[in-house]
Amino acid sequence: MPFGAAAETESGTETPLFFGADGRRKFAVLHTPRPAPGAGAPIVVCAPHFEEKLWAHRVLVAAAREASRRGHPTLRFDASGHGDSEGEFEDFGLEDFLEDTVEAWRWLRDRDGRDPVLFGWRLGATAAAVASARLAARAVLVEPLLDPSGWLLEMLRGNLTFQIRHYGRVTKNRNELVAELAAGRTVVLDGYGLTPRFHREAADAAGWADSAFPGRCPAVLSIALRRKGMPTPPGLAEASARWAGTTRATYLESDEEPVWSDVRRYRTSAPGPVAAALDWIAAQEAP
Amino acid sequence: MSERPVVMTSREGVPLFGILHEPDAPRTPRTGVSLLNPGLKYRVAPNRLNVRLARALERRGYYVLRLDPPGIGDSGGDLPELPLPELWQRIQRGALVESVVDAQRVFERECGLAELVGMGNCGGAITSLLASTAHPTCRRLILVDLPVTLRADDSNPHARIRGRAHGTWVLAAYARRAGDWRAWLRLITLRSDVGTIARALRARFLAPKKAAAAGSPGGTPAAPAGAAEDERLNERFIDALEAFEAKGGEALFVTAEQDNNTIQFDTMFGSTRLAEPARARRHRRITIRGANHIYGLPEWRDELAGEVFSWLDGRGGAR
Repeated sequence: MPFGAAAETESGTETPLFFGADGRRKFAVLHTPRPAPGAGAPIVVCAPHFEEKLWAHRVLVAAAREASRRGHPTLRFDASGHGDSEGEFEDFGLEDFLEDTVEAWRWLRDRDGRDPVLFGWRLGATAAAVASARLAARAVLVEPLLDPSGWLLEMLRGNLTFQIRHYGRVTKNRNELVAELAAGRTVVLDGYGLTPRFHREAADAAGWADSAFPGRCPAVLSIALRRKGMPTPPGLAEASARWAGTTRATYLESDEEPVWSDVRRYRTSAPGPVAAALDWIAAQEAP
Repeated sequence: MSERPVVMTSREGVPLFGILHEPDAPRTPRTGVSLLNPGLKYRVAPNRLNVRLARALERRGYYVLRLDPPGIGDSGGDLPELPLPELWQRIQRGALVESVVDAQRVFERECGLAELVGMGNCGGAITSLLASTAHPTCRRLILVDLPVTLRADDSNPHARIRGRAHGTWVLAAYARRAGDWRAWLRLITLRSDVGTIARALRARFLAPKKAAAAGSPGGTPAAPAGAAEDERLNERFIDALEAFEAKGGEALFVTAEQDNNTIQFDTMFGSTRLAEPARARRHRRITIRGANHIYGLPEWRDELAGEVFSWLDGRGGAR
């Protein structure tokens, strides 16, 4: 049995590949449905970032397989410096992730001949939203980060926990860590180097939900994942209501625990939100 | 960048995905490192530790295969949605070994390897050790934060269903796979664990509510009191280590000082059996001072990589 280049699965053919220019080659898996390509709109899955990507990975694989099973050619890709893609995490910033998203969308469009739908999760949803506004693409956004810099600030709590474990006390509080970033020094977050550039671009992106979106995006579905009784992510329902003024915007809450955090049981799928997303995409295509 | 994605098929027909790193100037003799994923995380590993290590090994002339076992990462196959500790225990008992062996054989053959080095962190370490017995050319292992113990009470983690919540968990895990024809095939051919299903049904529907396990979020059954002490050395680990040693195998054991497993490693193995003179001469043991389980600081990763390269380069050339 030699090395193969693709796998035949019950949901179709799965082809791992790299795309993009040298130095920015990005790892991706193309899910090609069988037996009749063209049944569903192509989809580009935009993964979360940092360790959220690791936790969510298998769920996104299942989502792509389900999309392929329903007839959607589907591309999953790793942003530059993430996963198996080329480069170091610390070499890239939010603007690069946006470029990667646009490039992935164009790669699949050129291959398929139709405009893909961007299906983003968390920071991947933020990149998908801004890209869809520029590309006039439809988008499904699973808990996009409306305020990326606020999210990073929350993530810095992980650094404080690390300090307590490592040094027995907090040696630098969050304000001091932010000051380090402002002074041009990289801060370690879950083993990743959070660079001043990344932090600055996250701060610059804070108002994207009002300034950069919906732009030319013709239709957007926003999904919040929350177990019943738990609070919904702040601002997403309100943002979706605002977007509805200029585009076809739908918001729904799915009874599902977040799949991108430190879970207690192994997560392999999120059938509720994925089915909702694929149903919505199919409805958009209906005459 | 000399990396390419590869696909293999396990003996059960499950497609396995991996990334192959091919050096521009391979070492002589040709040596490949099978770098396994940690536990249930996929081949990239936290903070891309395995990507960084693999690229550095490739630059030093080693072939590297980073593999996703079945049910993990991009590979086919399924693992049930069970609490993480239960799946970790399955891995420690060898649940992934056969598929890993299949992939490693393809790796050896396709790259023309004279030597296969097994390497992994945590669950990847124990799987590497257990798989090594199937490879005559695997005489070196790099075992990072190797888990050496199992809970004593559960050769099957569901041998005792601890109340209603535990039963609900088990049934929900089976229910999630109701749409998978392979799950039905296993049930029809009695390869499913029918006893566990029956115990879970009984616990779910017949047990009084007050018997439900105390509540961690999602109803995960709480560990029985004293569970932390109720551990024993994993006999499969000892058997595999002895088989590995019998063919002349040598291992580099690496522990992160602040990893939770390190105390168990030291008390159950590191300060006892590993300290026996014959073993101490054969193997090397190092601790990365201050490091946590994910080697979260660059200096810890550098030290880990430095020790790995030094051990590999220093002792591999003559073999």
